[in-house]
Amino acid sequence: MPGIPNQPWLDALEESELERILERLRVLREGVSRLRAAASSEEPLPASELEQGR
Amino acid sequence: MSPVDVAFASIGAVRELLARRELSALELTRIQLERAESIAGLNAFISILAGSALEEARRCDERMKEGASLGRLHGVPVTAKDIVWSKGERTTSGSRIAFDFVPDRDAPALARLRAEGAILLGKTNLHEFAYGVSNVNPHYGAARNPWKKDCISGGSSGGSAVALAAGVGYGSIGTDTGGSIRIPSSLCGTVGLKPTYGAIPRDGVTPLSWSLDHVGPMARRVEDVALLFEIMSGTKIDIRGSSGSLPLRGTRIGIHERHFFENLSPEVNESARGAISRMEQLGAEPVALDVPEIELQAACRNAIAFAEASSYHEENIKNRAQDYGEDTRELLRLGLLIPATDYIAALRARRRIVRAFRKAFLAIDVLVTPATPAAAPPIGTSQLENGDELRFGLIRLVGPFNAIGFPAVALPCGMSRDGRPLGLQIASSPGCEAELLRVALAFQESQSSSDWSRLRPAV
Repeated sequence: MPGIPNQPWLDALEESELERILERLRVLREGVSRLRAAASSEEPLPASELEQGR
Repeated sequence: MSPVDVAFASIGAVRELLARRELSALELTRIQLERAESIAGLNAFISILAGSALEEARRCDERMKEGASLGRLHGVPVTAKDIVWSKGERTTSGSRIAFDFVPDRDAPALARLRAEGAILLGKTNLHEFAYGVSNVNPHYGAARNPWKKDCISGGSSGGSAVALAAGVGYGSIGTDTGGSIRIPSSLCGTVGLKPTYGAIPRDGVTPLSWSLDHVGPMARRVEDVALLFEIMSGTKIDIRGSSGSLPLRGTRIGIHERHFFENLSPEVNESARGAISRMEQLGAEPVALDVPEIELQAACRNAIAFAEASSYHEENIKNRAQDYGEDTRELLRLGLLIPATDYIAALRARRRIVRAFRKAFLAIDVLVTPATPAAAPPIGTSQLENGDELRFGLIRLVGPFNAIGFPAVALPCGMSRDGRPLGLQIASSPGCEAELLRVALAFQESQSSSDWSRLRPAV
């Protein structure tokens, strides 16, 4: 898959499991691309900034 | 009071029984342990700690005889999800991986309950490593819904909700990364609070996703959840509002039609809107709300949760993959493939989402939504009755508050025609647990004469 480094453990998976994982990854990354577009001027929000309502 | 009435009593009621010496802590603990054994078929527990619970109960009774000052939970039996560390007791996280892990200390959340005199009855079943919402656990069995035993309890804190709904324990410690306290509370007809992010220490709780994990109290009644929250968070809150016929006078309740009222089962839609109408009768003012950034939160939350969970489990998922259940294994493998740039993109989007909700919540005191879009489905099904895929559907209404870290409580608001609980969710701004619990309590008290609120599961 484009953008995903080859990892040896991927080759050992059954084809059906690999297909399911890659499909879920594709859906997730589509969503992330919308996040990029929506937050292009933002800095990351570390969870510590949410601590106790800060 | 009959043993069954004692089992289903509130914390306040059992404390009175203990204080008046009508019941000893030992007698109460024995009643609870017998009841825990009697519901073994529901798979609520991974470990029942009979020996240590009875020993703790004896010590509680001795302290009472000595006239020692007593804690706010003196002699009250509670449970904890088996991902919460308990000193000297096995803490499996619902997994084979951590089958023999014995912590050398209590999690602060548990230690604080014990310091007030609570007795730990047992460690409750959960979805493996809290990484799922059905609580169908491949290693310890499916936690079954006490209201309909062929249905799921919901998860991942399913065993805690099952035990409470069946009258075992007066409170429980749950955890919530994408709804894991509120989903089983909704499906089992109990009350569960996911507090503000960090309000209760996550220390001593095996992590799923550090940025989204919350520790919180579960119980049968709002006032019990409030007491447990006070103790576990170390804060003081007052949830009693104005008395009289309009306890919610002046309270602005937000109604967010987009996302939260889309594609609900008819019964959930009816009961949630009925609850809002009831709050209006109690004096609340409805305020329409719309935060478009809600559309971003699922991708944001998933990218963070999947990447962080796989980071924590990286070594084991690479070397002991066969020791994980199928669904957990697949999610952990998926998380290994998420690029760091996607994770950072999610953290950047999170700032925008949080800012949008903080601004929107200035116009309201609480937001009221259904907790789950449908009642508990049968074990083994992959779909809810509203058509949502199981995992997606059960997380859809509760997950947003993990993304933004705001507090939210789930509580019962009705029953389906075939006797499955329906849950309501009330959320508020960060640090405003007292406000949301005040509204929840007023609603709960307004339902005290309804037919459904008096029902108990036939277990």
